[in-house]
Amino acid sequence: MRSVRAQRQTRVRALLAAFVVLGAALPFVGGTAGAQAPTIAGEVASAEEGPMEGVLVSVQKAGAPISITVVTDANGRFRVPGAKLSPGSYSLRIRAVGYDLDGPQTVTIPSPEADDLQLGLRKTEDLAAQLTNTEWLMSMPGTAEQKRPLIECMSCHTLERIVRSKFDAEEFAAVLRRMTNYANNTTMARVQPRIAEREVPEERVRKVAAYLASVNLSAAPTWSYPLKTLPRPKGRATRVVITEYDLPRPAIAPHDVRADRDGMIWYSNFVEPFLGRLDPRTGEHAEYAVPVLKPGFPTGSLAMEPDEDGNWWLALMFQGGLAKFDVRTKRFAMFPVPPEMNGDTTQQSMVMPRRSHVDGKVWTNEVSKQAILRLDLASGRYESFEPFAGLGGGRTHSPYGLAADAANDLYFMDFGDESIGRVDAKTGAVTLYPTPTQASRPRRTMLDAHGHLWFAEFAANKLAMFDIKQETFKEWDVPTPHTYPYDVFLDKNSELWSGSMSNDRILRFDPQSGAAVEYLLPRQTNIRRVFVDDTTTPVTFWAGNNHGAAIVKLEPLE
Amino acid sequence: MNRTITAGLAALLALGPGCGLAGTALAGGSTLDEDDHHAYYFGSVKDTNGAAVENAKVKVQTKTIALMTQSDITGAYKLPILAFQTNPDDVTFSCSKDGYRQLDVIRRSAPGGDAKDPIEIDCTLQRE
Repeated sequence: MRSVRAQRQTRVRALLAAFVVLGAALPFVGGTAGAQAPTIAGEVASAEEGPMEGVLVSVQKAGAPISITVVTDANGRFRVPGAKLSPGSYSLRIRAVGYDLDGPQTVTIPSPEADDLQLGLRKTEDLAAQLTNTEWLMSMPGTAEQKRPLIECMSCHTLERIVRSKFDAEEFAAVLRRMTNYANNTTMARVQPRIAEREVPEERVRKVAAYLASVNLSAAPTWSYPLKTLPRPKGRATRVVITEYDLPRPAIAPHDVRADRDGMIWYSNFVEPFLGRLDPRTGEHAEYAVPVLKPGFPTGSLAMEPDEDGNWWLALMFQGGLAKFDVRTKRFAMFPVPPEMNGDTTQQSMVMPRRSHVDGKVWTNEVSKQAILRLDLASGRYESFEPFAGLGGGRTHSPYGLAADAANDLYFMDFGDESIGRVDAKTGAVTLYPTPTQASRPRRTMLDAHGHLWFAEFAANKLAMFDIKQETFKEWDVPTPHTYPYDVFLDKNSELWSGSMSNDRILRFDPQSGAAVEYLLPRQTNIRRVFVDDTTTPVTFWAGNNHGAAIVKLEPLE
Repeated sequence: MNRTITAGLAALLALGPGCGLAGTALAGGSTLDEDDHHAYYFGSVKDTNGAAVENAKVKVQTKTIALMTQSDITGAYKLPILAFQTNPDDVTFSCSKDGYRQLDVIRRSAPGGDAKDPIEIDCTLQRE
């Protein structure tokens, strides 16, 4: 064990030396060749518990946009790998629900104490400020049906905002009417009103408003219910290093995040007309302005997917269309939805160009019409498919996550309801496959090389797989209730990775054994698309913090 | 009137979140209005001895769409996503499994029932 670690350290140092020789700019990988890499290490303890396992310790160099986080082991010990540090002054943060850091708040390396810091925690005076959305949903009284509407709120803001409010039922009804007229690509840092106003049934508004006014601070200065918390990480969940790259503006809302073949990290910005790129080796950040198609309409893009050539496609939401970014020329080609199909509610949230080289077509969706669109690259024309037209009214449908098979047949998630859909590329024939769990609301998806379509069942709190050849399903519960998984990614070891907007935890799940690890992230992290880089061993997980203007890298140590 | 409300809800959800109003409307089991009642197709798949056949593919085909599911360990299936507006006469039903051929399909509707009632369709498979 020890010799393996020693070997690894030697290899890391050799790598560092190579970088230094090459003169690479490594502002946060630091360390000089031959010198002992400085580390920050120590123990975390509290009067209540003594040495504490599962406390997240984050260090951030003064003035640097990068934070490194490690987790204390069963003995309360932590160690930030020296390879991630360079000499200088670091601020210290912790995350352990129920506690605050008593001190010290900073450390300088190298220094004698940096190797054996004693971090003391004290009970927090404001537990509510530390609760995740999941913990609020666990704590609130009420039925599942009463709580269910709140899962929509998390798209734009935390539930803490709701429970700390003092609106009575009538005031809340007005707030809700106002909320329905914000675009879904709205964050607290950038609020975007819809162009087309929406009518909401008054009875529905009143019902939700009455419930919200019963769980907030409208009647008393504090909550009438006990605040419940999730357990801290243990065992495997503590063996991880997390790196957060802060982006330069608080309004940047990374939604879909992926690495390209060179290890560059690209992301769609949900609320601003930019495509972003981060070089995780140097921290260098670049943005490419997406041309605005509809001035005055909400900006930002949701899905970001590569085509066969590694060019990035963006679904432009209320801008009405798609954009293709050529990675060589760094230019955008724009594919607006044509005027006769393009109104005030037009919204493209998804794009699927991965098999466009097969037939010259790119799939997308038209959210306002519950329709699928297909772009013909040669002509720039869109054709429309209405997969739910035969079903009549009475249920809500919404084509969402998209995947394409080898023949560019489309698989889509009916996020409004409970089915996986298929559109045949040649005939346009539609088949719907209801998930075993009703009202599951499948959300984002990926198709693996074996024809297994992996997806997250947002409302069912499950991960699932649909075998496109056998036409059969499998489903697995995620371990924590009220997680509401958004997406799932299958890595090279056949393990699943998932994240959500609810509890700042990354789920690593082995569908064969059922073994689950939940890695806690250091900050409030609104997670959407998830990505795993299979080129490293162990694999490296990436996601954006949609509300926190940061890119998150998670490196499991095993 | 009902239809207008439903359309509104559908649009609301489809357009995405507006703090929660959509979620309840779509999540099933809500009794907001009449349109929230859905006809569905259900039944069982059996062999010629009357024994349940599990993992049989069950397909309901309308003019515009195919709906597919599988029978469970008791041979039962349910396709909950057809709306009651669907005309049962426009629906073709089939069941299949490797090593079997479809022998018989029996439809039953509730006596005096209307379009909103579930429709039972049982299927018999014969070993090849």
